[in-house]
Amino acid sequence: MIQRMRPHATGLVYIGLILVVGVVAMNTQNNLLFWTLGVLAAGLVLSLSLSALMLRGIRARRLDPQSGAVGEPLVVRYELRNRRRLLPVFNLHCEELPDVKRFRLTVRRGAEEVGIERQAKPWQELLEPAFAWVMHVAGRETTHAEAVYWPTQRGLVRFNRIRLWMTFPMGIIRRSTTVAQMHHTLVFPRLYMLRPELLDRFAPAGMIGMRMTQRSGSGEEYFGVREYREGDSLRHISWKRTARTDELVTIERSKPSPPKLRVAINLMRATEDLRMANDTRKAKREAEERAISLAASILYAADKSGYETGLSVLGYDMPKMPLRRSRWHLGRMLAALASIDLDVDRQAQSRGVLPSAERAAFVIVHPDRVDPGLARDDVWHLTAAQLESVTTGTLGWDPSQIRNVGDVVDAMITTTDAAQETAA
Amino acid sequence: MRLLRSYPVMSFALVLVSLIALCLAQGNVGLLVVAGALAALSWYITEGPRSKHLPRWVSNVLVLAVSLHVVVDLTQNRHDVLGVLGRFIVLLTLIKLYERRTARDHAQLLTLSLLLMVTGCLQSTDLLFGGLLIVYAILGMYVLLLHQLYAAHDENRRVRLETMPQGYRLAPSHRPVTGRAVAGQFRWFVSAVTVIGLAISVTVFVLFPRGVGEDLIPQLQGPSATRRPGFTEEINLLTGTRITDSRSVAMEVSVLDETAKPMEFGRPLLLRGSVLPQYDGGGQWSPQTSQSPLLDSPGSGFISLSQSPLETGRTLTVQVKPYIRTNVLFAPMLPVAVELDGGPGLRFDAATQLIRTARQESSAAYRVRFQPSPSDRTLERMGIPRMKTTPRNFERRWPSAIQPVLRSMQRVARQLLQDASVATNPPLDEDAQYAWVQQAARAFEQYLQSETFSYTLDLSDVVVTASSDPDPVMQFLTETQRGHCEYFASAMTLLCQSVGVDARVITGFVAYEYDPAAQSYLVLQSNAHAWVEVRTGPRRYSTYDPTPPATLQELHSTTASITDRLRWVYERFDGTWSEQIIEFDRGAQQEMTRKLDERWSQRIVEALEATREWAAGVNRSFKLGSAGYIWLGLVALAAVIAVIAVVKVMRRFLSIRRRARLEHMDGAQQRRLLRQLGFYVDMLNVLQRAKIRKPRWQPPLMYAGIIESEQPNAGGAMREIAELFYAARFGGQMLDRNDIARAKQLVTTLAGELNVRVPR
Repeated sequence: MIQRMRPHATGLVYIGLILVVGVVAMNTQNNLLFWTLGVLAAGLVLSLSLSALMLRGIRARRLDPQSGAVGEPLVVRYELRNRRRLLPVFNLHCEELPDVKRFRLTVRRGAEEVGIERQAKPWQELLEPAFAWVMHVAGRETTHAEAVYWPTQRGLVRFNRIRLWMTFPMGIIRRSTTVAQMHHTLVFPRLYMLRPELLDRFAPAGMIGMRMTQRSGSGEEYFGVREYREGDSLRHISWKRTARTDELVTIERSKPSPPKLRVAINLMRATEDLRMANDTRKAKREAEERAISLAASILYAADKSGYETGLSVLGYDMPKMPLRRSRWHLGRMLAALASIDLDVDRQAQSRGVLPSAERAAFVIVHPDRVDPGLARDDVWHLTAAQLESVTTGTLGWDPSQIRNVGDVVDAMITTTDAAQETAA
Repeated sequence: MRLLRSYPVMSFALVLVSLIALCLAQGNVGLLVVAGALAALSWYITEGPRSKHLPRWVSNVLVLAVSLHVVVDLTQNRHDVLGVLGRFIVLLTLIKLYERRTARDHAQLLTLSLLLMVTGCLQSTDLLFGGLLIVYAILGMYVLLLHQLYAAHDENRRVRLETMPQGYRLAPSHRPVTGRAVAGQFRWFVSAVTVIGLAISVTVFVLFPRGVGEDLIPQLQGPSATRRPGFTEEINLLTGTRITDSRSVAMEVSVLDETAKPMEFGRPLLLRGSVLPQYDGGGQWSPQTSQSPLLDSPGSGFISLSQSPLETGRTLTVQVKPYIRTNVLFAPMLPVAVELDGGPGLRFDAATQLIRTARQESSAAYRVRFQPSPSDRTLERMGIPRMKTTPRNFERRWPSAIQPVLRSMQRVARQLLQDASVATNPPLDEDAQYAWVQQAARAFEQYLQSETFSYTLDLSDVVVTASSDPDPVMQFLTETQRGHCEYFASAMTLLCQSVGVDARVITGFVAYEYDPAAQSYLVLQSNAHAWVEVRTGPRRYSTYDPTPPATLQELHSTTASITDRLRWVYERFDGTWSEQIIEFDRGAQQEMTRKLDERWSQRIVEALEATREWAAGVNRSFKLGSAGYIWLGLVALAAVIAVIAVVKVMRRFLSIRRRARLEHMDGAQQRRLLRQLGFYVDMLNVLQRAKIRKPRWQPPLMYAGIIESEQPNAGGAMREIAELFYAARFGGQMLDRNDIARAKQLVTTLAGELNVRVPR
């Protein structure tokens, strides 16, 4: 590891003090000042040598995280190991070096690489800078440090290089070293708490609401009878039929079908083409972000309420996500929303691109105005401007609840890209 | 956390030490009391139960007021720039103590405390201040290191709180992350750093070239050092405004009568060492030197100092055993014969009656025969030149440099003579003139021994400079009227010279403490003394001692109170401190270098000699003849090569052990792998040379995959090496010679692909 060293303000003051004491000592030939000069010089020598020794003995590795969310702390943990037996390390700072430019990302769909290349933002545009601080690492000891970042935008964060630095022991110079370790983290959009009645309005019980499927399951409605199998509950035995046939017969119930909700987000119009009163690009971009947040919030709330959910992103060559209910599925949908790059060219889609025969409630979120011609007539339309009216505040949530985020992230990034970076 | 919580207390203690040190350096008890009380009060107010702090704007106004005050102070005390600067920093420090203290404020306080100590260094060289400086350095090292942790913790907490969104439901933890036994390890670390730091500082202190850049800024001068008592051949009243006591023994002196029996002399025994007839002004006296010939030596025994045989008179002998190295043989008036252990090599100056060794310095014992009351004939035969009487217009012979001083002195002297009813001008008749000289000298001696003058070794409160007006001696005589023996002797000599009396200052030792058991006088360094000799005949000088005898005896008396003893102990340390530290100059550096050179060259010669003898002994025992040395050389060379080889093998084994993580394995398995896995370390070294070091946490096969995607050939070679490594390291497979050769071949291939050399 190559170490870098640079004096900072305190160091310059210290060096100035050494010069002043040196000149005065020479002028007066005062031996106490010569000794004081010696003590100050010793401080400089010790500062140069001990910081180098300490940093040389430290090995650092980034451990976490796989995901974060806008407005929620993104805790990045580092494993710091002191290889030296006798020399402890004090006052060690650990931080991510900013990426100097946007990086190229090759996106793939499932196992198949689709060859979409796009520029992703450097992490410092998505997160507030932070650092981890370790007061002490004893000899031959491993310590974990945490840096708490606060994401300000959703997207894929790429951490590239870790910088370890210290001013210990005298605070005169700042010595640093850099460790290369690639790491990708997905920052989900900010989530809001949806008004409880809103989901009921989207998908009231009925045709597409709570109903029984044509398959046996654990519901309440009668589906049929069959012969008794080992393990069947005694409560489900049809005693009348058993008495008649003289064989144990079990009643089967129909499988319940949860309500279904498909959320679509309309991003077909380019940011500049959005129809808004506030004509600035910043406001339009903000409206798009709010729309994404609203879509994500609806999906999250519906999933927590037992809905099967699906996602369609209009304007992007992104596959329609089917109606499912699982943490992995929710993660995929939120990750898809998180990784939408608003800077790429949008694809115009005609009327009827959305499934019309799907037996599910349908919500389309628009960043600007409602575009009623996009789908069937019973679709719910929401706009980004309605975000405050349909939500009751931000939702504090732990992104780690979503499983396999790492797989989702891996699915988005080709390994060759990571390998190139690591090898570099 | 206790370690971090202790920082404010330690920081406050450091500031307090610096405040006390500066007040002591300035000798300002009032400032010490006020500043100490305000500082102590600040701790109660700012850190006490109510924890009040001075608002920033108030402290800024106070700093402005103090800055204005310093300008006024400076205009009033232009001669005391350092004192004003010190008081200014004290006031700034007190204001800072009452402020709310963030890490940055603590840093400013530490800087202020350092400035206080530096200012103190410019104002004092006392032992007490020096002790506080050492305490400050050690405590400061601890506080400085702790400050780094405290400031970083503060910064970490601040950043975490500031970056957190407003109203967020959870506050992130800002507890410091520490390893095991942090407090103990920190103290251990600070101790080690302090020891190394002190060692480096002492090295800088000793080796820094003295004399370079002296008087760059003449206005800024440091304090004069305290002075160790002891004999000096010249007098400079400006060196050392304070003379410390010293109980180190200068010499043992026995007085033998005509029958060679030890005796007590009866009155203080004055042992002459230097004659100073010429005043140079500015408090300086130059010795009278002349190049006298070497004495003829008849062999062993006494060497006569006279040019012709002496007539018999009362002749005594002083037997001196010196403990100091000097080229002066101290003897009472009038030495007539001398015997030096270690042979001849002596010079005798008849004009000054001083004996010196021809060699540079000596501490050999010697004996001197002397006549306490020599006759005129004896003086003549000793070769003492006859001097003329004082002429009427003696003022014209005064050196121009000191004429103003002598004129001032003359006015005082004539007034004194008038008061004593003695003629103010010397008579022309020779006999009358010598009688008048004795009367005048007696008058001056009595005046200086009167209660008007007091004896002191501490003149640190008196501001005296070479260019000051009046002259230091005149200042002593008319203003301060306090001083030590050099002041008294200087004053009397100048008074005598100003009215035409031929007088000179003598420096040497005075022996008071007679030990009846040992039948000798114990002469200490503090017995160094200065007195006056006045010419009372054509060849005769009479001794006068203007220093108050009662005070002098009291100072040198053996009976003293506990306070005196404590003071004596302190002054003894102070003397050592002053001699070893404060007065360490270019001469001391050269002397130390010379001694070190001697010692090391002696050791090297001894080692070479011992080696040569050992080689000769071995050669003799094996009967190899002259060719044996060649064989011995070859054996030594082989031994050196073997040691180098063993060291290299050990280093390689340690590297394999560490990088292949074999530390936890038992002996046999570990030894097997150490022999086999060298190729793996070679591979890592090749990667390191190619600047693609494998991260320690990454398995080699995985890393090979990464390399393979970029450089298929290199990656392929690395993959094969990794597979061999896995087979041996984790598969328990014993690699045979062909496998290892294959692995080495792959390492060479890898190096070739990466365009680097295989490390040897």
